This record gives sequence, structure tokens and C-alpha cells, in this order.
Amino acid sequence: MIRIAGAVCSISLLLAAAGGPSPATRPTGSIAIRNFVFEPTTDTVRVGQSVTFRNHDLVPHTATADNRKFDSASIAADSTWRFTARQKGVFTYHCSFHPTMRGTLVVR
Amino acid sequence: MKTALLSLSTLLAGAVVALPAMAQGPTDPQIAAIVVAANQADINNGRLAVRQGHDTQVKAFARQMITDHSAVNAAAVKLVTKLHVTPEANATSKQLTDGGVANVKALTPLRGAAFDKAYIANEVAYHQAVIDAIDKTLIPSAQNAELKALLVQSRPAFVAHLEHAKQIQASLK
Repeated sequence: MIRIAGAVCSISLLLAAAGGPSPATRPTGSIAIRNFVFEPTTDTVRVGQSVTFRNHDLVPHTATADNRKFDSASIAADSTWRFTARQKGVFTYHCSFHPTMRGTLVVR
Repeated sequence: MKTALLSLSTLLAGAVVALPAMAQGPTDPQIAAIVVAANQADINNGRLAVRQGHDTQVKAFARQMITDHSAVNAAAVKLVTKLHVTPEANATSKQLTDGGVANVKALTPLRGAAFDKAYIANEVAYHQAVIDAIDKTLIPSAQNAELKALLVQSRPAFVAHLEHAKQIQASLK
């Protein structure tokens, strides 16, 4: 019993050391569009990772890279758009409908 | 509260208009009617600007106003239907409707840059007035929690529209 508990404890420590998932941690690549803001404003993902934009607002938005490397077109209210980040770089983006909305996606 | 309501209607009508005295804030059915009337007024302004606007960003803005205010209205109608609330026309909602008609009438003879400047100036004033009314009257007066939440959720749209209109206004000078 003690050996099992010890093994479980060790595994937990390893997970914590490796930066295992925490309820308070938002997964990267998951961007909420809420109150006309991209949340988080800056997000970092790995090359090949899927990036999801979910629109929680009443009106449609877009997620459009300033250099046009990605463009969601219109994301309707309560809808989601997803793409795979295939290129490394720092991509500033905006909502084509509401130009005051801006965000940055860092792909490493 | 009365001052906020008067300001909203005043700016929309482009002239000082006396409102009937209101002893207290609007009821939820009245708020629903005010929201729908306010959105419809800007939808109508947008339709005119799509037809008569000159600058491409003005026309794009106008199309966005139609899209966004239609979406907010659709959400409002969906909610009041769910809540079995019948929007109740009132002095303020009527003032908004009449003011909107008057505004369209005033803009209609204008063309080119003159139209664009007048339309955008009105959009700046309109959105600021609506934000003031939302903050000072509509949200504080709303009794139903879902209606209040809808007003809160709608507010960022008006703020974003105001900022966008100001950017366009600055570029038209």
C-alpha cells in the first residue's frame, strides 16, 4: 500500500515538474472571442498545433492575419473556426469587421 | 435617467425634443421596445449609407452596422420570445423611431463626401448616446437577469462601433 502510494506520489511530482495540466491553465491554441476581444490577446502554439477561435459574441467576427497567412472569413455567433499552424512566426491578426479587435499568435 | 433618455433621442433627432416625464425607469417590456427601436434606427441609417455612401470604408461600415444591429435585434427578439415578454412601445422607443426617420430624411439629399461626413458624424453621436443610455438607464432598470445580461453583452458592440466610427471620421477630415 505504501509502495503504491509512493509510486503515485512520484508520478504526480513528475507530472507537475513537466508542467502537467492544471485546472487554472487555459490550453494554448484556444482563443475565445468575447466582448469584442480576443482572449488571450497573445497566444503561443507549436508548429503543427491546431488553433481554435470560438465566437461567444452576438455578432459575427473574423480572425484575419495582417499578412493574410490565415483568414477565418466570417465566424458566426456561437461558432468555431479551427486551423493548423503550419508556419513558425509571429502573426498579428485582426477582425476584418471590427478593426479595433487585434491579437497576436506566436507559432514556435 | 430622464436626462440619459433625452440625450439619446436628442442626438438621434438632431434637435432638442422634449420627452414626456417618466417618474421611473423603463420596465422590461419598454426596454425591449427601446432596444429594438434603437437597433432598427441604425439599420435604416446603414441601408441608406450602403446606397448613398461614397467612401469604401463608409459603405463597409454601413454594411457592418446592418449586420451587427440585426444580430443584436435577433438576439433580443429571441430572448423576449423565450421570456414571453411583449415589447411595449413607449415615448422613448417612439422618439427613437421618429428620430431615425427624421435622420434618414435629413441625410437623403446629401451626396459624396458631404453624405459620408454627415452619416459618420451621426454614427458617432448615436453610438455614444446609446452607450450612455445603456449604462445610465437600460442596464440599471432591467429587472430580468437575462435581459440585463443581454444588454451587458450588447454593449461592447456599441463601443466597438463608436471607436470604428471615430477612426473613419478622423480619416475623412
